[in-house]
Amino acid sequence: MNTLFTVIFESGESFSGGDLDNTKWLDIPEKKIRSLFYRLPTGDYLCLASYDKYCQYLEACVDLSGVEKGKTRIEFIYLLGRIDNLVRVYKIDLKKQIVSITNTNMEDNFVKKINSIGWK
Amino acid sequence: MATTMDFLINYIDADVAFVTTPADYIEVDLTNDYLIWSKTLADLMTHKPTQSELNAAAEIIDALVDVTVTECLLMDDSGDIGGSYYTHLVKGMGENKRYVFAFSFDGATATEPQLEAWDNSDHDSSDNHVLGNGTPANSMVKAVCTTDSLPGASWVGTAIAGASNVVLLNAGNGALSVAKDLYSNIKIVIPAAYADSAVETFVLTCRYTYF
Repeated sequence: MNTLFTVIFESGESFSGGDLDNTKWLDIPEKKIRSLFYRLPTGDYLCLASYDKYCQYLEACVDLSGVEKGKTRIEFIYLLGRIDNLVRVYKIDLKKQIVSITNTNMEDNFVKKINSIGWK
Repeated sequence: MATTMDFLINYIDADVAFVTTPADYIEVDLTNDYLIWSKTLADLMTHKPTQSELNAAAEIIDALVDVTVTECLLMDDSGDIGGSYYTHLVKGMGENKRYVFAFSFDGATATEPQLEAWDNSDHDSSDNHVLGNGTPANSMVKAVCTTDSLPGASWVGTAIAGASNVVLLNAGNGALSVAKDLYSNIKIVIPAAYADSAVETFVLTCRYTYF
């Protein structure tokens, strides 16, 4: 099985993530991360490196009505890399299979509202 | 594991929370059950409502005053709650009641869950008449977060439609750090003398995130 991501720590050790049902992001040991390899829907990998902190979360929708009701559909994956106050956001659109990148900072409401337990 | 959400409706007493009185709630089987917004459809029907029964019970546009759709019912496909009943009136819908529609999360989230309304499951348009015909602020679907408090008498709520007009379900308090039940009250208000009558199947959506 291809894991969703692989983390390489400064120590040279690594950690392999799970899948979309259980990413294991919160199981990443509290060690300094050197790089993060994240599998894109195309099968390619996105590499993030040289950030102080990293964050990942999935955005899901459940329709309460309509023809697709009841299905939990993951629409986006967010990857964030932080250096000091600066944050780069990689938004992976699973349907369109594209990645959009934006730069922001820790004072941005979008970033401030993210549960802090996700920063590694 | 992924955080999951159960959607429940209160069918007994909209003054009690799910955590204290779970028997007052029905967990909606989102694959088979559905909500019906109606004027006079009967509570506790012993058969599944037919299309003609739904049409006969439909709300009527008023020439002079805005009309709040009178009732919301759960069509329980299994028909096995409290007897062999297929329709259950959602208690407190549109009223100054707090525990009406419940969203029960079994774990932490990355950001604050929110309630949205769309034309369909593509989640890329909100052009239905009921959703404001392309102007989200004119959406007839009004929702209010009641997780922390009552909505207030004659609550107005937020016109929900599309990506911009949504209701945060944790009262603006952000992501969930642990499992938690969130609440909302929802109603449909049809403007006076609205020119277009329609049968539309808009989609209510709960959007949430997890690690």
